[in-house]
Amino acid sequence: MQAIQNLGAGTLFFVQKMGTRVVFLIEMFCCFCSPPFQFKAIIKQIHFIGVRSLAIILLTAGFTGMVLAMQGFYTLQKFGSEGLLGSAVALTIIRELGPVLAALMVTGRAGSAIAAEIGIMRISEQLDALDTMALNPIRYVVMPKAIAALIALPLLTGIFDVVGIMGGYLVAVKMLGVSAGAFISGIETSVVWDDIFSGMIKSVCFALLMVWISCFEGYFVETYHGYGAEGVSLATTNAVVLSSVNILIWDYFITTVMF
Amino acid sequence: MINIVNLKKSFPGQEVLQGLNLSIVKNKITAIVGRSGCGKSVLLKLIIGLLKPDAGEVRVNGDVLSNLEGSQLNEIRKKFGMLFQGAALLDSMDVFNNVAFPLREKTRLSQDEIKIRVEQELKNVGIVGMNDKYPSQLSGGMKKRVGLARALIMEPEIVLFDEPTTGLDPIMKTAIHQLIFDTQRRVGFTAVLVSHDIPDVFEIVDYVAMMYEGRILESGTPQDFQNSKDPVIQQFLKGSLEGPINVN
Repeated sequence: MQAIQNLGAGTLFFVQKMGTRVVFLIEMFCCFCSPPFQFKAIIKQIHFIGVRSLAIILLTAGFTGMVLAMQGFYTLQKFGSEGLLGSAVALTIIRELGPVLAALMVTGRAGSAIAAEIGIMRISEQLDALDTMALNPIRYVVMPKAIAALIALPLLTGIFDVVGIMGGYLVAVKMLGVSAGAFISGIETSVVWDDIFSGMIKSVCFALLMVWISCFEGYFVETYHGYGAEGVSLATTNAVVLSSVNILIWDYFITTVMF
Repeated sequence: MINIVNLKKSFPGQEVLQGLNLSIVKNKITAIVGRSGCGKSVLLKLIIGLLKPDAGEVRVNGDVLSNLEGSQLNEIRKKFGMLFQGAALLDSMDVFNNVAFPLREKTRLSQDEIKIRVEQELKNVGIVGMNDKYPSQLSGGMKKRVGLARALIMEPEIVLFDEPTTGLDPIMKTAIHQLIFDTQRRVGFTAVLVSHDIPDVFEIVDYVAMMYEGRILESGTPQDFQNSKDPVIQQFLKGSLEGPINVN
């Protein structure tokens, strides 16, 4: 009997939490559509999420492209198809690794910071203070981060794609002796606009997932994770884990729909 | 001004308010006293609509707060200012911008007008030359003063004070009490003050209400309160371990 009660309570809790998540997302979208738009705060957040993630994106992209070229060369060499290396590296990065790895890197750096910042604002009653001033905390705290992530992540993904392909080119042409012409023409002939577009669509979806989950975990820290530093710590961990797992799961579904 | 009728609020495993009734008198200072954890801060959050009651109602000038949502609730909240226990200053903004924030977001005043208003309000609470300090660089007493300036900058009709002197030294406590008293007498707002500072707080308030077991046990003037024969009130005033209040 106790087990059934626990199952029921667990199910109710899950349904209630999912409902709260959806309402939070709708409130976020409502703030997108009505003024004031907090332009200064959005610019500040683009700097935080975008510019300050640049170094980690450049490093990850460069080394991902390099290792991809090495592994690809090893595989393609077995079939005598080294000439396809440029195409393989570019398509893998643009369609898959660029959006996913850029989103995971930004989640690790900015998603955790977003959850922690909003969580601390919740436990120190700063969000309540905004409410008492008749100001909507979602508009003032969440919305600028959401818009900034939706702008910054696709741009970072574009940078990731370019730097990743350059890293692949360096290893393939300078280290492994693949013809530069074959590498570049492979990219030219195989990459079409749809590949780039689908990568960008993915990065927009991942940005939304990351910012939605991270903001939610921070915003409801006391409801779902407890009070004080421990609550914020749990919210931060949850934000990163849930965002990362959801990015990977949704990557599969978006890929299934788009290809 | 504020009428609280049969207010009930519980959290998992804890019934905090069990049918509380209270009337707050307009343009006077009312102190709400009671043991730690008896639900005083919860009551303040219910008064300003940060929490929804399980039953009962809070009426502000006749409007039932729990029936309101969104913009209607915000209209009522514009009448309020609140000083939180930890001041709740926005930690990413300096002192000036914390106080200027409600004016920037809620009025169409020019930057010059905002500057004049903010500096005057900061001067009123005794904060001068600290405009560019961040909350983490301020002492507890200074944070409360800046919080008070922010709560008053929109000239609210009602100001709620959640333990404004907790964690302050005795001199700073007296200074904050005096500041609240002087400001209330100058501006004339209705004040609801949650406090543990007994009997010091009696010096500045017009009415006192004591919360006990989720209800208002007694309310009246500080004089009535001190003359009360109720054993619970007497034990509370004396801070005695012996009496009807169970220490554990």
